[in-house]
This record gives sequence, structure tokens and C-alpha cells, in this order.
Amino acid sequence: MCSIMPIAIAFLLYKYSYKDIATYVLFSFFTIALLSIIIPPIGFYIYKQSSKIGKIIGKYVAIVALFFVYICTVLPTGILMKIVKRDRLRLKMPTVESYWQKYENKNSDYEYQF
Amino acid sequence: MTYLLGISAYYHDSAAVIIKDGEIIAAAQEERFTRIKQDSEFPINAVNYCLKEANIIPEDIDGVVYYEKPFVKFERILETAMAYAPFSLKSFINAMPVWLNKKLFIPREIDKNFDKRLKCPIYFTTHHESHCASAFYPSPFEEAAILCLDGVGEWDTTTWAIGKGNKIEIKEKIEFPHSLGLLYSAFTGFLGFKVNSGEYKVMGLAPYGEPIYKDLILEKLVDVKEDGSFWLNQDYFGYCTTDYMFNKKFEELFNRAARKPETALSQNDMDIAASLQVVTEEIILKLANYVHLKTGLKNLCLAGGCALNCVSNGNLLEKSPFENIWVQPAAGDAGGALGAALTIYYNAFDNHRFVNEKDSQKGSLLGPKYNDEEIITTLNKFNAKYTKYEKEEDVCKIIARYIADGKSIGHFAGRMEYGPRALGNRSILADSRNREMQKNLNLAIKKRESFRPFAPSCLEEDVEKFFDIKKGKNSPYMLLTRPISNNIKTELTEEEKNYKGIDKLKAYRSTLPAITHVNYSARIQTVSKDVNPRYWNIINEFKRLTDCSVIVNTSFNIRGEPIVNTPENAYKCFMFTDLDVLVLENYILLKEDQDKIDGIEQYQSQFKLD
Repeated sequence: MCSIMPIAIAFLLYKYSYKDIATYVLFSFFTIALLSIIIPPIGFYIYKQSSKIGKIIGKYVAIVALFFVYICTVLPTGILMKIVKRDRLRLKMPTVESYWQKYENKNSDYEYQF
Repeated sequence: MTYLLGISAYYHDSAAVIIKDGEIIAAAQEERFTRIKQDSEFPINAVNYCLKEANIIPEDIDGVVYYEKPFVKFERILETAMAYAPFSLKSFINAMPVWLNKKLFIPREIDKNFDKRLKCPIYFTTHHESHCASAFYPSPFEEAAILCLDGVGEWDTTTWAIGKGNKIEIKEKIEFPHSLGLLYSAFTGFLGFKVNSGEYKVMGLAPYGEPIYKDLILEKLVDVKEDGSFWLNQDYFGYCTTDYMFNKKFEELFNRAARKPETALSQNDMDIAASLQVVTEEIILKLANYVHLKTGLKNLCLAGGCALNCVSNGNLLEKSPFENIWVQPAAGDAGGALGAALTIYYNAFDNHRFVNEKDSQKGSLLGPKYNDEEIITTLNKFNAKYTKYEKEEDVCKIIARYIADGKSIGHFAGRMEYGPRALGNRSILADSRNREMQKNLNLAIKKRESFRPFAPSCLEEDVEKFFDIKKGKNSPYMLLTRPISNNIKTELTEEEKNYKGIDKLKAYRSTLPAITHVNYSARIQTVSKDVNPRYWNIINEFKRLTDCSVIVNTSFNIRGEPIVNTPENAYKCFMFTDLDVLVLENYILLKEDQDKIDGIEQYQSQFKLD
């Protein structure tokens, strides 16, 4: 993936007429690749640093992505549940004699996570 | 031979257990190895230890059993987010990454941690099946009612079941968010203690206060039916949508803000703790009465985090209709690993269950033991000065003499305990008769709050002489609190009777002041010669010297530190506290003989205060 990305970026830059930048990207990539082969710790260092940056970017991307997942799925479903008065958590005090509920034994499901 | 490995992980108290043909071979909590209190990561160190103890490799395991159903738990989290939308946005975003990375891919995580060497199926039991199994299968009962009370598993927070032979059938449940464990945790957070670890401090604080808020709690926070079933008013709690267990309305109810951690405790804090404890005891007693009514059985097994409430357990022993009570010593989530493995062995594989008349928990001494070579290597590493004794009897005599002389002993011997209690093998031992011991142990050695009581270890055969407990009702796992016997109580002066709050500690209430709590109770451990002969010998030698068969037993650690596991952990804890003597199996070290070592602050600061 690390090898493909710079080449793909260079290709796109070349396609959209940013030839100088594409050449620069390719030159940098091959220089780093060559250095990493000759002196592996350099490649490892670059890998570690880029992983860190990737994780930070990933964290923020995840927040944004989860925000949209929430807005698009959880929120409307939640509103719908309120409209149809579904109260799975028994948040409203039920008018019952006992809060005990019958337990359904499913002894054969041990291989499943549900 | 069938080897099953039980695992609990990714919430708190990760642990691993290996059973062979239904017999518990080894069990340990991950925190003891990583030195991170209540470590929730995959228990790889505990797993490796279990395999080593069983003398097998991953390829030999016949089944790995995870202690809960991840997808059902995930469903609960989604349902909660939906029920509270749009206020659940933050908690949803906080919770999802770990679910999407790990918790929804438990088989992959297990496989990865075993370097893909497993050749067996992975099973999943429900959280409460695991708890119920951990309580019933190792118990000394052929047939028993089982009551399981905890924070929350997948959906269930409270269940009761019937265990008969090799089968358990769960009958009824109460579901999230209505949870006795979460109610207790909410108050734990409100009183400035750490949730999921400070609950026992609230229990210890309760006797200093008066239960003046009992009616308020029952009126506003929790509705309790006659059958013990309950409903929590979520208007006052925050745990469904925030990182806080309680909300602003909860604070308004008590007309005050939550206590800030590490600030001085007020009488009001103590009154709230007392009120909560009374409510908890009442609910649990009602639940037990209901379960008895439904089952008609004479034996009760308890598990789940709330079963570690030893005051409530003592109350059940006295007031419930059950004749016998057995509590799983690792009643919290760590015990789930054991229950998960046992569920598959008995319930799924339908194997015959042999009932041990004492129990099958082996004194809960199921962790690692270290040999002479490993101890000497540690002692040489630190250039420690020590004396080695050939006979264990001599060591027991010397320890007893030191205790009688008022010294505090770090005792490290045999296999480490499984569960939160130190039962003699990783314990700090001291003289229960010593008036200054409670204060010294709390402040100079354990580095913890001064109000906290210490537990007694008593010879099983002498327990009636010192405590109000019937013959045969033993408490081998330190899970019952009972009043001290009248014959060891001392008369208080008028001034002492009027002490309030923490001042109550100034009065000496019995001839064993170090283990007598301010309400004349004690969290008893009865020590049997059959189960832990060395520890029994120490107390017996102490009895020979002093005519008293009760000593102080507290866990060998400082505040925030997991109980010591290795000789190195023990040596460091010894050197960086005011302990007088360290005993590593048959090696005895005196503090006065040792060269001082640097790093005391660094040592203490590595453990987050609990």
C-alpha cells in the first residue's frame, strides 16, 4: 500500500498536468525506497512516523464518519422508536406487579456470538 | 482428557482459567502480571501461565470459551444510543471505535493472541450464564438456587437460576439499565471513589454514618417490589449517555455536589454511604427471599460483583431462609472466565459433575507459585540479606513470634489467590490485638484512607469464640461480615459513645481492635488446616504464643497496586513501605538488615490511586 500510494499520486498529478510535482513525488519516493533498502532503520522510522500520522488522521476521520452514521441511522431510528413508543430500556416506570422478566434459555447457541 | 480455557476480557478484570475434565487447574487475573489494576486487555500473560501450569500448548486446548456474547452486548449499546438519541451522540462516538476494532471481532483477537495456533472451537456463553456457573459448579451443593447480581453483562443485570447436578437453568432476569451494581457504582462515583473499584470503600464507610437518606433513595431513585425486583429512575443517572454515573438532578436530590476525589470525607458522605448500604441489603434480602420462595431450596450460590458485598452476605446468612450460602470468591468479571469454561464442560458437553463436600475451588489458591531458584535469583538481583530455613514449621513459628511482637509481615508463599481477596499467600499479616495496627497499616504500609477496616483470619475451629457465627458456617474466602462475639467487646466510655464519623476510630471496641470495625463487625476469613496448612500453622503458632487465634490479614500491595504476584513484586513492596519483615516461602528478610534502595516515590507513583 505504501509503495502504491506515491505512484498513484504521481500518476494523477501527471494526468492533471502537474508534471513537475509528479516528478518530485516519484523522485522522493524512489530515493526513500532506495535508502530504506540500503539502511533499513530509515525506512522503519518513516513507516513508524507515517503510521502515527495515519492513526491521528484515522481518529478524526472516524469521528466524522461515526457522526454521519449516528445522524443517518441511530437518530432517525431513535426518533421512530419514540414515535411508536417502543421502550426497550423500560425508561418509563412500567405498571407491573414485578420487574422480573422470564429468561429464555438458549443452551445450544454456544458457538455463536449472539 | 478435555482442556477448556475460559477467558474474560475487554471490560475490566481480564482473567484466564484452565480446567481439565471439569477440575480447575489454574486461574489468574491479568492485572497481577501487567501490574495494571483491573487490566482489561486480552489476558495473554494469564493464559500463558494457565497453559504452563496445565503443562499443555495451545494446540492441546479443546475449546476456548469467552465469557459473554459480544453481539448481544453490542445490540444493547445500539438500543441505548437509540433510546437516548440525540443525547447519546458523544457516548456513541466514544464507544464505537473499540467495538469496531476489537470487541466485534473476538474470535480474530483470540486467534491473533495465540499466534493462530489454536485448533479448537471458540465458544461464547452469556455473561450471566458465566456468573451463575462460577457460583454453582465449584460449590459444595448438588442442588442450589443461584442469585447473580452485577453491573451489567449483555442485557441482564440480575438473574436467578436453579442449579441441579450438572445443569443450570436461569429462570428470570432484570435488564439494563436497572441494575443494583450500577446503582452502587453511581453512589461510589458520587462519593468521590473510583467506579468499578471503590465500591468496597463505600461499604467500609457505611458504618460511620446513619442511613438518613434511605427513604429518599427508595422514593426517588429505585422502586423496589416485594419480590426484590427493582426499577431505577434514569432521570437521576448518567451512565446510559455519559461518562458519569450520575447527573445534575442526582446532585440536586442530595442538595450537594459530588465529593471530589481525595478530599476530606464529611459526615454527609458517610450518611449517604450508610443509606445506600441499607437499601442494598434490603433489596438483596428481598431477592433472596423471593428466590427461596420460588425454589424451596436450602442452598444459595451467589455471584456477580454485588456478591462481593460481604456485609450483605452476612445479612443474608442471618436473615434469609437459606441454610447454606456459597459465594464465588472471584465473584466479579474475573470469575466469568471460570464460569464460562465450566458452562461448556457441564451444560454443553453434559459431563458428570462430582460434588466436593467442602467445594471445588481449592481455596481459590489457583495462581502461580515460585520455587527456590526463582526466589534466590530475585534476592541476589537486589543484593538482599536473608536467612533461609529448611523446615516450614520453623518459618511458621518465627512469623508467629514476629506478629506477636507487633511487627508487620509481608507473607508470600504457595500459589497466588484467584479473586480480589488475599487469603494468606499474598498477604500482609499483623497482630489483631495491637491498638495502633489499624492506623499504622493504613497509613504507613498500605498508604490508603484511614477509615478502612482490616479483616481477620481466624482458625476455622475457633471462629465461634471470636465472632457471632454458627458452627459450620465458615467463611474461607473472606466474603462474610459478622458481628464480633460479645465476650471480646470492650465497654466504651460516655465520651467514646458520642464520637461521630471518623472520630469513631479513636475508640477501642474490642480486645482485637485492629480487626473490629466501628459497628463491631469484622469481615471474617476462616482458615482450614486442610486447605492452607501453612497459613493455619502460622495462626496456630500465634495462638500458642498469645492464646489468640485471630490475626490481621490484608492484601500484599499498596493503594492502587494489584496484589503482588512475583518475588520481585513482593520485595519491592516490602522495601518501599514500612513493612518490618518479608517472608518468601522459607526465606526471611528483616527490613533492618537491608540496604536502602532509591525510588520510593517512583514506585508509589506508578500506581494510579483507586
